[in-house]
Amino acid sequence: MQQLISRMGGMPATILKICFLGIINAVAIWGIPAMVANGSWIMLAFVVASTAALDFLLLGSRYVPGKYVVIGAILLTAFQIIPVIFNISIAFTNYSTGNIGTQDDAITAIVRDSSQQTDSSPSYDMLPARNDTGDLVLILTPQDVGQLADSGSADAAASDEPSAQPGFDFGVPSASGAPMEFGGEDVAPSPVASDAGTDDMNLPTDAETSDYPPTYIGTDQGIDEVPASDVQRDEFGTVTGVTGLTVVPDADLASIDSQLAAFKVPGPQGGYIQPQGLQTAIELVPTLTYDPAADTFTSIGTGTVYVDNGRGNYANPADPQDKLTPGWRATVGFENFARVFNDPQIREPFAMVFIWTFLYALLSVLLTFVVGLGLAVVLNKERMRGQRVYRSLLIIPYAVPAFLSILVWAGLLNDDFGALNAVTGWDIPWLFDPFWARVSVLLVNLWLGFPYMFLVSTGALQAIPSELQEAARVDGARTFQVWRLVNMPLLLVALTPLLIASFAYNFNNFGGIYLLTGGGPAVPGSEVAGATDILISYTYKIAFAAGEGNDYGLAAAISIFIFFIVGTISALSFGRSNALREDRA
Amino acid sequence: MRRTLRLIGAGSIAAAVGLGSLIAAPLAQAKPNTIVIWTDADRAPAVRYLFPNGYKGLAVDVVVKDFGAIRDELSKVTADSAPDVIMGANDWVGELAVNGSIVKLNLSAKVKDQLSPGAVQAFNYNGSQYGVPVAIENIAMITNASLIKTQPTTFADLSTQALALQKAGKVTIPLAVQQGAGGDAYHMYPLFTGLGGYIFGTTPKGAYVTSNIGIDNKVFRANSKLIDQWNKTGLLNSKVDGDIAKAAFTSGQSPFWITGPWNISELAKVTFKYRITPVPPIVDGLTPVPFIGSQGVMLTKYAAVHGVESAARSLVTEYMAGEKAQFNLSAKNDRYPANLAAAKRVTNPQLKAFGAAGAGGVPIPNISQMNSVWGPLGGAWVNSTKGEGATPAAQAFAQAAAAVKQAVAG
Repeated sequence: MQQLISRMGGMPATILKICFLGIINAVAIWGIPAMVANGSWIMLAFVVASTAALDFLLLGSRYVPGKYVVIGAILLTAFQIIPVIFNISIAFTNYSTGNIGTQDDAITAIVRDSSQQTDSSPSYDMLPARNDTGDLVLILTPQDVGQLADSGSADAAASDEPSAQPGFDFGVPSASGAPMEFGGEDVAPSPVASDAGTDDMNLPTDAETSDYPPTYIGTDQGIDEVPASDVQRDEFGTVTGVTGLTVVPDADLASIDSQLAAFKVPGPQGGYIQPQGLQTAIELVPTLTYDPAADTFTSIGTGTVYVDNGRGNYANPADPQDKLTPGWRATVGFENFARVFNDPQIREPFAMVFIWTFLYALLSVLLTFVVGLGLAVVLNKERMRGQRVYRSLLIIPYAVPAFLSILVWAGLLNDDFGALNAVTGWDIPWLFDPFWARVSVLLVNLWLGFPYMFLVSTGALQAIPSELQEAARVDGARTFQVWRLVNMPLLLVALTPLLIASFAYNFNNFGGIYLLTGGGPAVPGSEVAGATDILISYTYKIAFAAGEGNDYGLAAAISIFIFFIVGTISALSFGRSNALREDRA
Repeated sequence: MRRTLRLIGAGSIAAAVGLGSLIAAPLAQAKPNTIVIWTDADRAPAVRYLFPNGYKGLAVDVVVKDFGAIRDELSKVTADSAPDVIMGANDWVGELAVNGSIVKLNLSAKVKDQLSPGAVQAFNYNGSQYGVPVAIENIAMITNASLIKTQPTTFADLSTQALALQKAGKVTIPLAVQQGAGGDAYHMYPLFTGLGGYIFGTTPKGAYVTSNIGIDNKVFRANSKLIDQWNKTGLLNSKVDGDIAKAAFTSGQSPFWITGPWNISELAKVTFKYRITPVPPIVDGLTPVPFIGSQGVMLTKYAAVHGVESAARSLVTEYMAGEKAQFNLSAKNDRYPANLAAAKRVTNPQLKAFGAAGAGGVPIPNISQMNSVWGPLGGAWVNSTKGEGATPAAQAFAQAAAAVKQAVAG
């Protein structure tokens, strides 16, 4: 690219460069408001600094090495260092289902959801309107008993013909024995009967009014009954307005949306009548009060005080499990790391999974290397006919996208219906027995991996000067000795880093496991880890499918462990391979 | 020359910066006066069809997401691009409510009475309502009528007929229920309940009691010998996965298939006649019932941030609960409406038959502990029906119960 640009000469190159910088700058500027809005200051600093550095370096003609170093450094920071820092910072938090937002979010949500509908909460048909001073008021009509009876009859009709409409009966206890009484009786007695009854009682019985229920005007002071003569109705008797008030037209509802959502009318039952949309209001009774000064919630019913437990929840100090949800993301120190060692549910599978991960990576590398090298040696004979055809054929598994091959293999390996057992007449439970499932993932990985080893081995073999082999033969070495003493050391010098890389890759070969067995078969007694789970698939399951939803904090902590394991192994191996080189020298 | 170029360069960068800021300003904010609904590709056309002119003076923007991504992204999205309403499954409610991502709804009796009570219950979490159901779905048993002349009324009868067909070489899979290596507790649930199993007990008000685990209860344990028998005769085979089950039934290689309304379009292609019924009773006094899944609409916490809370709440509780919306949704999406009046108007006979097979079904528990159940329970079925070398069912399910107990306690 650089060559191309310099060959094009100064002017076009400069224009290209300016366009490139212009795009970078525009993208950076485009991102800044969002970053400011989200308070991502570190990200903002990084973006501003790196964009400024790029502009400065690329527009100037000094600091030529800097042009390469800075671009490399920016990319390294953006794609390696920032995710790593982010991951590490998550590992020290309780970021998981129920603790995802900020403390302020949590307080808002707790307050918002703490108002409750009681069994006798009256529901009102609501019309937002303005009075003569332009203030928002609500025209409230207790929901019509007649309508309740209507829908009640619809319900009754449905249950009259259970054979035609039995889908609705679910939840009603079936004619079952003891166990169903838990799963079955979960539906409260028909809301029709109870609510209609209580609504009835709540309606002020005013002898003077007609059949219509009374209509009220709700303000932040309370509700006032409207004289029946002031209520305007359509031909169905539905309230359409009240004399002296202007009903807010549909088109203007958007402008009062938030005002309406926050509107509270003190109700007759000690709660607040609150809009539940645009046409309905329900009296809700608060169940918790928040004290901002003390930062505590108090239950109105029981008097229990919930305090910040320092771990991202408001909890009852007397009973730490009695928490309010949601919580927020809080720092919990080394707790996630400690859990890996202390929690038997994680520790026991962790040991099993760790050993298998190690075996899986090691055996994958060994098998693919042995097969790949063997084929490379066989096909390396100069006189062989059709060498190219064979080589091309052998690369096919490498050319097909791995996830496709894995899914095809999953079908082939099905023990009763898969092609492999059908063709061979074997009866091997490939994916259903822990041992054979492990064999399967290794075999499939061998299929996917040997072409790579074959390619690099072929390359490395061809790079060995033939004089060396001839010299060895002249010295009286046999074929095997030539191999052991000349070819192998030279090959290993070239291939060891690749083998280590392959090991590290397979250590985290998520697709190879997850797509073939999903980590299964299940191991009795272990909730998350299956027989073929490797650390990374196990971590994935913890993060996204564990007992209590997602546990990002724990998953991040385990991934740090994985990093140290892979890092240590790689460092040790590279150390060994350097030693190999020095031995030769 | 170089200096001029550099000046031009600086100038164009300044211009780009200006342009960038211009684009940035409107993009950084959510669209005003718009209700954003997230739904999946299946349902999006139906939802768009409901709001040709927006809702109550507001525009309605239907955003298509992968079904699972709706739940996952809701906890990670920034307020600017967040939805006001999502359409999703009832078993998301626990997680989303615990996260504070969705807002509690208060339904008037008038609204509740229009809806299937069980479906309303399915969106109830810890005694609070978090969604309005719009559709219900459940699995049923499909019978190949050209292979099975008389519909079995008991499971023993079903077993006899199916195994006889297999012995005669007419079919390869006597009963196609999908499991696969990972297991499938959802599709096995009618058999599970038919043997007396249940997952969590409930309080009279409907809240789940996670300490009451019924996977290994006495009744089920006593009946679990039947599973061993099914395994021995080959009636059940855990190696049958979803694709195999579908292929076997549609090609006439299996007389019975347990599946849901999402395969109605597959059934339209078969050349033989078939019946859709509930799974017949296995043990006297116990009815095999399916899980009832429910899809519904939920209000997110972002509606308040976007200043459209009242309208979005109204859309969820006042409009989507209604007959018109649900009938139109159902007509476009092959799912049974949760609205009772809309359900009565369903004309698709297959859909009606699936609805009938849902009788007595229970909602999928929407508590997050359910995540610890699917794996062990599915695994118990796999281990006890994998043919030779299978774990005795009593033992397999006891292990599953222990695993769930440990997970839920931990």
